[in-house]
Amino acid sequence: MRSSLCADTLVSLGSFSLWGGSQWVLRNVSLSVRRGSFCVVLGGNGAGKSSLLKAMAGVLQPPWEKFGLLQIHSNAHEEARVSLSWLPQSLGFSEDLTVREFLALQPVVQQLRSQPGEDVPAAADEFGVIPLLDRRLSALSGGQWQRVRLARALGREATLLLLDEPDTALDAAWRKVLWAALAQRMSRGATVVVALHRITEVGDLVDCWCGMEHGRMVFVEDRRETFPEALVERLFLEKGLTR
Amino acid sequence: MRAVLFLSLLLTSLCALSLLSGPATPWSDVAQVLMGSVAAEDFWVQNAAVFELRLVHVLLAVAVGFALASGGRAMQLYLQNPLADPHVTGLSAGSTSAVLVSFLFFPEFANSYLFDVVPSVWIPAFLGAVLSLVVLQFLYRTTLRRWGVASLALVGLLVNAVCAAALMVIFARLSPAALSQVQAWTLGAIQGHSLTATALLVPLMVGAGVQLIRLDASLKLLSFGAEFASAERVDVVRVRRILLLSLMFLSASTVCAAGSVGFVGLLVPHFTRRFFGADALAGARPWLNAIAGAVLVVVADFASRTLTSPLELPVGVYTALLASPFLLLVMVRSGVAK
Repeated sequence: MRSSLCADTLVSLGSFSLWGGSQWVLRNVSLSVRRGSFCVVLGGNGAGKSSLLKAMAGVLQPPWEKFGLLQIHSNAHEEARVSLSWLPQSLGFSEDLTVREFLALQPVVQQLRSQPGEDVPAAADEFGVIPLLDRRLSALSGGQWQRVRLARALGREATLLLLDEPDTALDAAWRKVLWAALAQRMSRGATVVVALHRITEVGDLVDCWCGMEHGRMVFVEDRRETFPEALVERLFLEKGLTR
Repeated sequence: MRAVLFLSLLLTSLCALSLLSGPATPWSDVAQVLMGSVAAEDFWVQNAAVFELRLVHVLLAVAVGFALASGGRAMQLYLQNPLADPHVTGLSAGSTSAVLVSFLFFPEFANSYLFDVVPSVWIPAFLGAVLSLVVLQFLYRTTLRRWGVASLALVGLLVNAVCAAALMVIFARLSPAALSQVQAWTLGAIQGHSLTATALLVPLMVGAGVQLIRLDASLKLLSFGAEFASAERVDVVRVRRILLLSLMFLSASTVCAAGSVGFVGLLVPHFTRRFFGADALAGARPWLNAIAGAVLVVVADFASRTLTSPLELPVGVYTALLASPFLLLVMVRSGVAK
């Protein structure tokens, strides 16, 4: 069913490298992400997962420099540019915003609003954020802040979702909600690339497993039927973290 | 919306008060006009010169407060630093220093007027700000990679330090007469500008303030980091460029209007954040902030003209006196001063 949705490539990287100012963060990474697929990027700490997602999101700022090919292909059904949503691993803030303000924040001139509740995405309800709308971000727990960030990232029906450890700080019940939300987005045609450490809960969704080590792509297993157990075990062998 | 309306009404009332009352037109005279004992037209004609002078003061005070408060909020968001204000970039210091250099080396030019309307000293004020911006941009771009947004504050610190040293040298060399003349530029005093000059300055200050308000949402996104803002479709480089250019115009025009007025940009954003809440004010907050800035400077200007009359103390003295207790109150109510 899903294989018919992912007939063509949405993101392609060819011999892609990333210079972090003092060292190579990604080296010669090649990868094709099919449209409508769920791609999991695995790897230990510092393997380059977050940098890979950042590069795909096109948000690299100095001193980052990229080399090689990175393309996001739009097709006839999409706008000139594929809409993408990036959930960074962590997000700091200084401005004392409320959850409502954070969700409504857009990079345009804001109009004076008299109707509180405008611009709150539907995903706010999905992730149980509605009761938190008038709380300040600084007053949220780690899990609540993660849910707010997910509501923002998943609330805009993006074509490409780039999620860096989206299950961080979530309890088992909210992780279940997250996977269900992602499955729903995929059924509507979204492509998901997600960096993960905990892989036991996503097995059924995954179309593509990628393993990274020291900035290199050490394996790309494209068929969901064959979970690359041996490869994953090798990747996490030293840390004793496996499926 | 209610808060915006309240502050706008407060500002209008304060402007009317500042326009009508003062040592030259005591309250008893105003009351007689209001009660109909004296014809309003006669009162107005008799005091036309006084009212024109006050109108200039009120217009400049509103614009200076609006611009400085907007600049303060923009810098606090951009630098993610609650202590930042428009002066942190060193643009105001550069502008003020250029003005004082012109008083030292070209006193005749500094005291002359262009087309009998515009004080010549505005030229060095703008040139000083432009020169500071060029230096700031160059050093900022060079150090941005290593220090991130904090490099703007560090480079600003450097520019401020060099300008402060230059000011000391200039002060030491100025004659006592010139010294008292330039004191207003460093302490912040709304000078006796003509209406035409005011009409030139006010749009510059308000324009720069409005431009910074338009950047508010982008700056908020930037306060979460440049990468996040970029993912949210903020053109980071363009926003930085507009921010610095607006601050340059803001600094030069506020220096021309009132010298270096302190505390407004630092205090007002904290005040509005603390006392007007965040709920349902997402889009209104930068406007609230700018109007509150205008209120503060109008009050300070009125105090400077009336409290020590006939002596007129620089408006910067009163913004500092008014702002300090408010800042302390904000700190105490926020639980910072424990």
